[in-house]
Amino acid sequence: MGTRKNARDLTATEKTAFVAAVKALKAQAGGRNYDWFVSTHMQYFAVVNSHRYAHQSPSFLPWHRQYLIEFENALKVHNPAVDLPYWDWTVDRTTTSAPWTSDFLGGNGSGGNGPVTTGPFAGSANWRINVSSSTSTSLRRAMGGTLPSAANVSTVLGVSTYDASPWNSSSGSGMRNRMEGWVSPNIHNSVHVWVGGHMALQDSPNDPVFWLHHANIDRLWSQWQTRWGYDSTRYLPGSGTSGVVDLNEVLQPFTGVRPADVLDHRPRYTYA
Amino acid sequence: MTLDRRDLLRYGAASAAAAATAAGASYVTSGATAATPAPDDPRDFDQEYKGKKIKGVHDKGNKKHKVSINGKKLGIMVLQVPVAEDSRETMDVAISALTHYEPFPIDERDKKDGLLKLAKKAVETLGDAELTDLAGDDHDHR
Repeated sequence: MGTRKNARDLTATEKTAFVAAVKALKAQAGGRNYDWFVSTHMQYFAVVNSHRYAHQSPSFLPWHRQYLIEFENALKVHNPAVDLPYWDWTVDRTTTSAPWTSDFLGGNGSGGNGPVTTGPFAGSANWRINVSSSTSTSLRRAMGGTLPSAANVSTVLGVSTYDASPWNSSSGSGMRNRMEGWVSPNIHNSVHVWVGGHMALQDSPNDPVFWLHHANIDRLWSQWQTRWGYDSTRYLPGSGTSGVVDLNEVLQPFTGVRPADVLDHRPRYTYA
Repeated sequence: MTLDRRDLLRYGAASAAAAATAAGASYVTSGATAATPAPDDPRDFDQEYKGKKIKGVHDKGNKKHKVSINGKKLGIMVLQVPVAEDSRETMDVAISALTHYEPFPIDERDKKDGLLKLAKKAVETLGDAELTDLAGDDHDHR
């Protein structure tokens, strides 16, 4: 069982190992390499087979949970000791705090919307962007704006109903749409916008911080489950909802994996 | 002038007449026929912003709005979001391949410049880069 740690608590050795594994996956020829993960996120942001899998739907949380598990397993092929770290943006809220240090993910882009200039992902020679909406082959960031606060998170975790009809971006009640961010207090979306650069694009996994951000979203869902229950009745909808991944429908493209299969993550990993 | 079937479908008769008036003499003297393109949506734009040419064409009927930056297509998706927490009332917002997590409210009244604001933010995000073909992929989020 793995333990996912706060990025600010990683040792120098753990930081080096994570960066090396991410780069090894990037350099991997074929298979589910790093760019496969970028392409898959782009593809499943949209409607696939008349279903919304990854975004604007109840399966936003279980789809990304499985996506992170697949990514973490892909890293472990290169180094079994690596676990995904998370970035708690309610605590580390500046452009120079964890994880933006030169020994880990590097800092802000230059000149507001330019390439990252520090750390192991600076410049296309160190980290080449291959699949993107932008012609920039260097990773970009444009940090600024407003990150969610601890009070915002507390409000969302206090919503006991998982999700609500019509099960998309227009759901006015329920926890999921607040967490995803199509309704106030906008948790997940606002962090993508705050980092800016590639994190603002449909190919946002090009920035390795994507995994740390989504590990934190997954951690918050885990906290919600701890408070309101891990059992399958807490996920909605249960069955019979067209265009939406019900409890026992498959989270494509993850063959055979249903929301019911990922609700209890504790046998596989926990958060420290 | 004549109003073709497309105009009537697009605007309804009354607003089509108003739009034709607003479009001015050049439209009328061009000799409108069934082959003449429908009048521009007043929300459309074609301008330069921070060194890039941005163009936006609204599709009132199907909400399949079109935006290009320096001639390259930027995929646009229109979503509905609640106007407030716990509200069942919704409004249209637009996201794009470049502003994927930042919805811009868009309508024909007080939020009519939503698509222009989106295009400007996309230019700022691009910086000195340009759009790729991937940016033009259509995503149906509805």
